[in-house]
Formats: sequence, structure tokens, C-alpha cells
Amino acid sequence: MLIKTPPMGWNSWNTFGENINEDMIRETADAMVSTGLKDAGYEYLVIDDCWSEHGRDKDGRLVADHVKFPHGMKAVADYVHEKGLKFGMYSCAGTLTCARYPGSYEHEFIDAETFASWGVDYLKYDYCYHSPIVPGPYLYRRMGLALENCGRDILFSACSWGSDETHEWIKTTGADIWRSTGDIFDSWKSIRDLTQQQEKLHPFNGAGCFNDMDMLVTGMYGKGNVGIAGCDDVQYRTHFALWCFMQSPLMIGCDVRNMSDATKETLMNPGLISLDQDPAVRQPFRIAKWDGGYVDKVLVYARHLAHGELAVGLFNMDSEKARAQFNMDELALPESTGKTIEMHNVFSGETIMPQNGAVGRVLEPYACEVYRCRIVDL
Amino acid sequence: MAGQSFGPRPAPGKPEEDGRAACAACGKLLTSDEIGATRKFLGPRRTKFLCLSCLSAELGADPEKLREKIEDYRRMGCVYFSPGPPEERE
Repeated sequence: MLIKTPPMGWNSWNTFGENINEDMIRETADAMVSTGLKDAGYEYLVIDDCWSEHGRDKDGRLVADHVKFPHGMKAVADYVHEKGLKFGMYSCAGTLTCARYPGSYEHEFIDAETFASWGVDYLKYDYCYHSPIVPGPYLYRRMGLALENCGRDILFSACSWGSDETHEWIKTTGADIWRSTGDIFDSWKSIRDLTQQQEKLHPFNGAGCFNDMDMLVTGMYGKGNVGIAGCDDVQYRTHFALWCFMQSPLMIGCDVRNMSDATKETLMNPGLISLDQDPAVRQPFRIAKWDGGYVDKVLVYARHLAHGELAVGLFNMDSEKARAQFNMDELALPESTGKTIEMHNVFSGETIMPQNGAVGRVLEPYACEVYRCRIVDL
Repeated sequence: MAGQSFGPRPAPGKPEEDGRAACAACGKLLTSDEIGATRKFLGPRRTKFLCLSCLSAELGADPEKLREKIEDYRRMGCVYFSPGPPEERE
């Protein structure tokens, strides 16, 4: 198994789309180091679609765009590696990529060899223009085998957006992570939809193949390729907290060369990152799902962590102030156990205790509170 | 980046009115771009579609921004938006 916890890094798509080039990639690598992102755990720098020429070379190999990457991909990979980062690239299971560059269909082994020869450590593998008569599992298994036999450890990031019941077959393909949602856009509606889409797929997440809720939009403020409405910092913080709570890969999508202080603070919150990277890799479970009131407006999740700890997250998904509350027996800790929890807020550092067997908190619009909890005697 | 597999693209030219889908929110007859935009922004498995105005409201986005994005994605080759000239897309 190549990874034991979800990968963390940066991907070019959300902000830059087709507007990529080697100078921007080098500056991004520099920024990942200088801003502290690398030290916080973000190690992959991934170039998404639109990096290649429109045709293969005479030997059938993919070729980097000569204008965008005049020194070739090996030189870019070497630069990224020199910074202590890992290098990722993109291809597609179809004849074309989503932006109509050459896809890897029936070129899987030669493309995997090419990526390995360039020093690629991560491959995002999309699902556009795939043959309607060749099933998805076959396409992803073939690339899975190609990567496992290319002579280099390359993380396999499957990106079929949950189509064709991906959850039923993705673990047969060798994929390390799989896109369990549609595409993200920089709007609160999108974040909320993806969170809801994910709920029924929590049982499929875990070590061996992590559910990928798509790249982060934190810090985009409506700009860039997937920027359509933008969010405020409270919404971005809740978005990031949800992705961490669900143990999704954390692939930053904003321009890390120009991050606001609030963006840095969110993306490098050590308490949230430690939840995302918790080695126990347990499934989250939803509690306090009221039917007389807030059902999907306020989400309360819990998750068992390593060393007997618990995480509890309270998320206000709505535009009005709301109360989130739950009873201790919903965490399997009724008074009869003689136990309760000591709740450490990962944002404020404040420690609180349940009162009379319950926890109730008032949340501002779109705000969240996330706690790492220790089991203690009553 | 989501798209869809090979399949028939929306036929160029103005479709017959009775064959066109209507906005699930306001009932306006939809263009192929509006159907594509609903799939692009709200998810590929959507079966109910919105006109640009209702979609903008749903996303909290400026309609002009969505128009701009549709053109960007069309230029980049997104399968949801047919590549013909504007007069053929209504």
C-alpha cells in the first residue's frame, strides 16, 4: 500500500485550468516551501489537464507542450523534487482528456513508462471520452497494472466522479484514492452538495483507497478556473474542516503564491490536519439528525481516532444562526458507562465538557466547531 | 474535471419547441448550453435542469460570470457545451 493516510498537496486545475506553464509551477513549488505548506504536510504538486501537445510523438509517447514547458517535464519534476516535494501529473482513461488532449486509452503501459521516466509520483486519471463499450473497471484496472509495473511508485488517483457505481469496483483497480463526487466549484452550494453526496459513501472510505471529495477551493475567493461565486473565510474554514473530518485527500486549489492570512491559517490548521491524517482511518458517523428541525442544515459528525480518542464536528450549513446539540448516548457514552469526554476545540484551544449528558453550541451562519475529545471519568 | 463518455452531442440548430426540456424551477424552455451548464455546475447525473437565471440564483453566482465560464469551458473542449457558433446553439 503506497499511502496509509490521504495525500496532501496542490493541483493546478481549480485556479489555473489551461493557463499553466513551467515558471508558474516552479513558483508554486517555491511557495509551497516558503509559506510552510510543505512542513504542514502538503507534499504533492500536481499538474492537471492541458499540459501536453495535441499529438503524440513518432513512437506514440506523450509530449509536453513545448511552449508551456520548454524544458520538458523531467526538468519540472527535478525542480519539484529538489524542493523536497513530490510531482504529480494527469491523464485520462478515454481517447482524449477532458480538454481534448491525448488520453491514455490503449496507451496505458507506454504512458506509465513515460511518467516513470520523468519522475512522476502521482497520476490523476480522469474519465472523459471513454469508450461506451469498454467498462470503467477494465479501463482503471489496465492503468492500475501499468502503474504497478512501470518501475516507480506512482500514487494512482482515479477520477471517474463516482460514475458507473465506482465505489463497487474501484478497490479492484489498484487506485489509492477515488473521486467520490462530481466536480467542485468555488461556491457554497457546491461545497454543500458534495458533502451531501459523500454521506452515503462514507462506508467505502478507508486505508487502501480513500474517498476523494475533489480539490479544495479554500482561498479562491471566486477567482480562477472553477471560481463562480466565491465564498467567505468562514465558509472556506468549514469546507476545509469537512474535508478533514471526512478524511478526504487535501489538494489545495488556490494560488498558493498569493494566499491571504486567513487562507494560510485555515489550510495549515494543525488540529484539522491531524484529524485528516489520523492513522486509525475510521469511518465518520452522523449523529443528532433531527427530523423536526435542521436535518441537513446542521450536521453533527463524530469519528473514532487512534489511541481511543474521538473527533466531534458541528457544522452549520445554512445562512442563519443555529444550535447544534447532541446527547452523550449518541456517542455510545451514556452516564451508565461512568465516562464522559473532554472536548478540545481545534480552532480556539478552548476545552469544554458536556453538561447534563449533552453538548449544545450555537453556531454562526456557515460556521463550524471541531473538537478532539479524550475519554475521561465522570 | 468531469465530463461524459462519447455519445450524441446536442444537434446543432434550433430544436423544435415541443422537444425541448424546460427549466425545473421556472418552466422556461432550455438551450443545450443551459442543460450542459446544469450538468457541469451541479453534477453530471442531474436529470432536472435549470435555465441560466435560475442556475445563477441556485449557485449564488452572477449570470454573466456563468456565461463567461461556459465560453471558457467550451473553448477548453468541455463535452457539455457544443462547439458550434452561437447562432447554432439556441
